[in-house]
Amino acid sequence: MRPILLQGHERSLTQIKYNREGDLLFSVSKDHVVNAWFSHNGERLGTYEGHIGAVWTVDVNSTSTLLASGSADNTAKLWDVSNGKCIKSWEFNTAVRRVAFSEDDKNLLIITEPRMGFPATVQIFNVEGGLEGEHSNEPEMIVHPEGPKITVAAWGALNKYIVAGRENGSVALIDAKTGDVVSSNTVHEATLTDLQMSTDRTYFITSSKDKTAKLIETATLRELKSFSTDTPLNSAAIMPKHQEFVVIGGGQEAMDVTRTSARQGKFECRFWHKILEEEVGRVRGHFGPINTIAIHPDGRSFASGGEDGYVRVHHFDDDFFTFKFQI
Amino acid sequence: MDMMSSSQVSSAERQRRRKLLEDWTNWRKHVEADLASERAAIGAPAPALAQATASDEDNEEVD
Repeated sequence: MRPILLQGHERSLTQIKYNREGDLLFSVSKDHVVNAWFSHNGERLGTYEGHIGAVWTVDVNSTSTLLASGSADNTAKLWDVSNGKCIKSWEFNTAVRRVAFSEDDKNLLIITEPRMGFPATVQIFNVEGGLEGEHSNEPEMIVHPEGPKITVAAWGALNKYIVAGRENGSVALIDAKTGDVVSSNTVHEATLTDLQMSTDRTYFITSSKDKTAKLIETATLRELKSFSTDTPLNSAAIMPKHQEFVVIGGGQEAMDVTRTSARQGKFECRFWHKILEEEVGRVRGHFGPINTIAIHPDGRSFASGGEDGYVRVHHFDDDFFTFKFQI
Repeated sequence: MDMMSSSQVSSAERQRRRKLLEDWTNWRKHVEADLASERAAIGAPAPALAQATASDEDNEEVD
């Protein structure tokens, strides 16, 4: 395991995301900056500057031309990946917690948080115009779902549904056309901190402050697998190939830890066998909680972003690929 | 990364694991078929990425 340290953020990481080919890694942070890195050597490709608040979320379209970001400055922005120019900025009443491109790149999902009389919103914007087109200020769809605050969200397969995770530990299936909540299931006992789809979007993984991560079937919201740890979790990701693993991470907040020992805070990325629900290994390195995890689409490396302000990229050793459970 | 030793596993445990893997594979076949027919019904092209996931760990190449 050869970690590469990406030093370019001055505050804690909030989300990291690989592009479809995996050659680029995008990172966002409370320091207001969006960074793009070459994932194989950790060199910085560039920065996207314009936000004036913590950036909570980032996503890139499948052709790596458009980048979307959402921030505590109450805006979501679209960027030209190649030159760092902001080509669109949408303004909202409250902070943007999640942005996500649909499978076909035609739509952008935006989640805004509730605050001071403003309800949370789930909005879908048409971004079909890509780099050249005009992007409407008005969403194609907007709903104000009642109930606990939505903390995370993602697109299901074929853009039919949106899956949203809430503060009360529940997940909800929302019709992307009508905005209706089709079904709901309380799978966790505390707030959802991350929700990442499998490659074909037929199932997804959730992480929660209740110290567990779970695999959930998208169509039914049925719990498939559960991974139980001893620390609040902030992120979880599914390995797309080579091993049937999931990677999960988190850790106690600095103020809750009496001594600043990494071991005590349990700042490790934990690898679990996705199907057998058994832990297979851990990767240490961060000096604070792990806030976000992403796995390279080729399954040969992964990256973690920490409260410590660092992104660590790990390329797996040969023994990782040959590891097999006895069955 | 420290991998767990898997040398001492009882036959009951192996059977349990086999069952879990089998159940998972069956479920995957089911949902993948459902998604493929749904995709065909609306004439949506299969995304290049989704095809990569269909393969199992067994038939994955390791160098």
